[in-house]
Amino acid sequence: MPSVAILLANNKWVKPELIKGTGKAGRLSKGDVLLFLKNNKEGQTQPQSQPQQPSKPSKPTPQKYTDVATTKMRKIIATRLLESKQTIPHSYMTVEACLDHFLTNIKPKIKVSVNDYIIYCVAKALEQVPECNAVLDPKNGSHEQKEQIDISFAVSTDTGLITPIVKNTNHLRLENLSERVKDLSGRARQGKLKTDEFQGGTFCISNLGMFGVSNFAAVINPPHAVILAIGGGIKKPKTPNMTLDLDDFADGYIQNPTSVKDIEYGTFISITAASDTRAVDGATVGRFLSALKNEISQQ
Amino acid sequence: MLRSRISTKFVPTCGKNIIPNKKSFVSLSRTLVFKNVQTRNYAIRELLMPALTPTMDKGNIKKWTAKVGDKLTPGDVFCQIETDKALNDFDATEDLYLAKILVGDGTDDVEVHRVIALVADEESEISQADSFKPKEATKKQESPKQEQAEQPKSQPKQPEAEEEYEEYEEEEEVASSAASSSLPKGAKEIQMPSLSPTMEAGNLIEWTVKEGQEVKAGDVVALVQTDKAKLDFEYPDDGYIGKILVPGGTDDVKLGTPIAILVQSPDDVAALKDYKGGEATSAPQKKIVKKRRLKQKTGSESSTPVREDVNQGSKGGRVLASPIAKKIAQEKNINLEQVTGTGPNGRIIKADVEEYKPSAKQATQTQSQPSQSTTTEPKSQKTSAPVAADVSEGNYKDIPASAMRKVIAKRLTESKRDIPHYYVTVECELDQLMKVRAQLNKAGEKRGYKLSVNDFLIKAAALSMKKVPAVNSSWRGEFIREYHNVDVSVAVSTDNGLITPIVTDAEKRGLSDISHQVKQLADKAKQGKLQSHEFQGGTFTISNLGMFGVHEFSAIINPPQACILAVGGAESKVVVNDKHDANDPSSDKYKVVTVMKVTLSSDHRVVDGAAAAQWLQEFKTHIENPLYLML
Repeated sequence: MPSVAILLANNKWVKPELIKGTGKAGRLSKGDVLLFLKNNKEGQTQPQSQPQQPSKPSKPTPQKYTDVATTKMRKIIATRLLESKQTIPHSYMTVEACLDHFLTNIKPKIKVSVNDYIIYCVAKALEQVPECNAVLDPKNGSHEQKEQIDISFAVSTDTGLITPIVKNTNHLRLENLSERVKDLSGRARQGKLKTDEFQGGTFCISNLGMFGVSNFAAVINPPHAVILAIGGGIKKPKTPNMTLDLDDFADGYIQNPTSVKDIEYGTFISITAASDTRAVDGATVGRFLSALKNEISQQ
Repeated sequence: MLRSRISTKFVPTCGKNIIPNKKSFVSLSRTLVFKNVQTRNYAIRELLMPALTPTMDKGNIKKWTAKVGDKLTPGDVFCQIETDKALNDFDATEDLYLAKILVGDGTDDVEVHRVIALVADEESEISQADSFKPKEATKKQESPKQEQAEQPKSQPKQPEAEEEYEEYEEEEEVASSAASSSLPKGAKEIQMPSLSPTMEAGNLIEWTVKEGQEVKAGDVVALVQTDKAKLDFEYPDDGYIGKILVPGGTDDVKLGTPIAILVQSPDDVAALKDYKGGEATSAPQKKIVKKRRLKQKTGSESSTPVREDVNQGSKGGRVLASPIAKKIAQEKNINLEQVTGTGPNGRIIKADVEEYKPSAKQATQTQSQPSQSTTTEPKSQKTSAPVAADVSEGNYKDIPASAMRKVIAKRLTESKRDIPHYYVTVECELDQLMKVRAQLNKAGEKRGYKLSVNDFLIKAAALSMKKVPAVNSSWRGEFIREYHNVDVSVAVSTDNGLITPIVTDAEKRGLSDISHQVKQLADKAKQGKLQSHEFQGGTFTISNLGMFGVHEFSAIINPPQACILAVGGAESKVVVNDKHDANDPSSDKYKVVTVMKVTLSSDHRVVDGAAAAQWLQEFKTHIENPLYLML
């Protein structure tokens, strides 16, 4: 059996003859080998068919690894994400958004986190580009644009990853949204979420900013069409009058070269969208990211 | 993942005949031998082609370093085998004698588990090798079914194995008779050599020696045109040219084809005067007689059913062939018995002969190496035809995929298909590290080391595993294997492709030790001399493309590992000075720093985003505070 073969391989090929098989027709099962190994700890493992080894000095082997049984949750994560990458054509797109508006105008007034603010802005951007608020209908394999905006956000817990949902995100005020997020993520960590609080959703956000990550690309969480990956805030020089058109920008730059010491700096975050190309094309995601950027920076 | 797949493929599930790796090959043969006790020849065992790497399914036997009759003790080398990755020594693991070599020097694409030689326990038993009957071989070859399934075969499995078996008997008899009647003792074939890695056949432009001439090891004996260039063929042995089998000016001589016979004394030259390769002599008739006798024998001795089949029929007595086919065959010196007929009743027609290309192995095998026919024959007829030629046609050039490229292709496709990759990037400031490196290297001038930035990265990565061991793990389905030691594979690009030598126990090694290790391994890798344990079984990989000015990139995970770190180049950059004081006009708003971007590709089944991010944070901390590397 393959598992037996692996076990044998990892135990320097204990002579299979020495192990008593309990399977069909004396066939070795994994359990047999494990039992054998348990009873014959290192050293006693039977002189391996006489002078077999000396050619290569085998390292002293105090067990070189620990095997941790895969939990049910890990298995689900594994199956879903593998399925996602195998079936969904992922396309990635990155923008940077300036957080200064939030840091100077909002944070001092209301006690909310960057994460709350981003969820809030994403809901606003989705209202403008509803094409990105789509989910896959497993029955017919097509994507359906949803009217209700339910944003899930990834929370890392001790047992694994879970994505609680803020329902009707676009109808919440920032303060309420913040409370909602706090409640959901708290209960997620305690494993006390109800099924409908983490299953479903129409859009997903994953934020690793708190770990100092520059940027990252996430795996789409089916049945969603898009997932946003938010990086950490980084201070950067901020040149004024940035326009989206490269030619205009170049012209403007030549006409008004900025003196280096006048350049101000701001805090930026990187946002990478992974999108299902079958559901939304590049231009749509581009429009969405542009809308989001404006929502966040309020410029 | 990959490992389990290989295990199932290489390990036959029947009985106890587990063929795990080269170490137990000989012991496998032992189990076979015990079964042979009931017949005869119990002292002779088969030596099988070993799987020297997990990805190897065939290899090239470069040179036998042991000779027939040699006594081998554990660690002694039988022969050198070129795998998809490197040139390896195949060594003995117990005391034995080499009784007979069945697959000779320079044979390419020898399948794993094929019998390549016979070995004996006692010196006195060596002589029994000639009459050894590899009964178990055929049965065993049937057992790894997956292996067979991979090979395109037109005939049903069972009969084919039968056929091989019978052919074996046949060839063996021929070989021994040919050897005893025509070839003097000590005579050796000179075969068409492989003068370039991609060479499959060459044009023998001219012989620079004559029959009867003495040659010393290293002398140029012939001029050969390969796919690449005109090259001198230097023969590595002393002797006399006994007989030239393939005259100068012959095009397209396949690798391994015997092109001349080398003898040990000038007296033997005369004896070879009338010798003509294997095919054209009177051998075929002898062959038939012997073979029939043997067939009867096997019928009575064991339960082997005698197979009756159209093709087989043609092998018996009369070869069914059209007159024109026979004529062409004669002109081209093709043995009709080896041609598969496609006409009515398996009759060989003109097209069959014209399309037939004897592969290197077939040509050799008819002469002196009996068992080679056992597995290769039915296949080689099919595979030898559509080989991508290295010719330019139109606006493109077809380059045949090397064994190594094919393995890379297969593994990386598998990786992207079976592992849900995701990518997390951080930027690390390098200024501190560069300072420390400069200081250490100054001291290293006297102490004999020179650290590269990469050495620091290996160390930092290894130490970061302590905080986030998930990154140093492997997905195994029912469980996740967390390694205690960090064996860092370092991706090195060689002329043939990518190879990843391993710095073992990197978390325990000091920087100069790591540096030394990497240099040694990289040199070996570039020369293709890495031993299989030096590039297999790492727990984490670092790939650095910084030297090419790459900003950042994402790499493909090296299964069964969970993560790979892709390192971009160091760049100077203006960043905001965090110590800037707006009220102090003398403080600078910006500063110039050296930064590097690293991207971790992770298997999401094992490592969640938060874990990857935490690992990178730890890595960044080590890089930006290199003193931590001392902890």
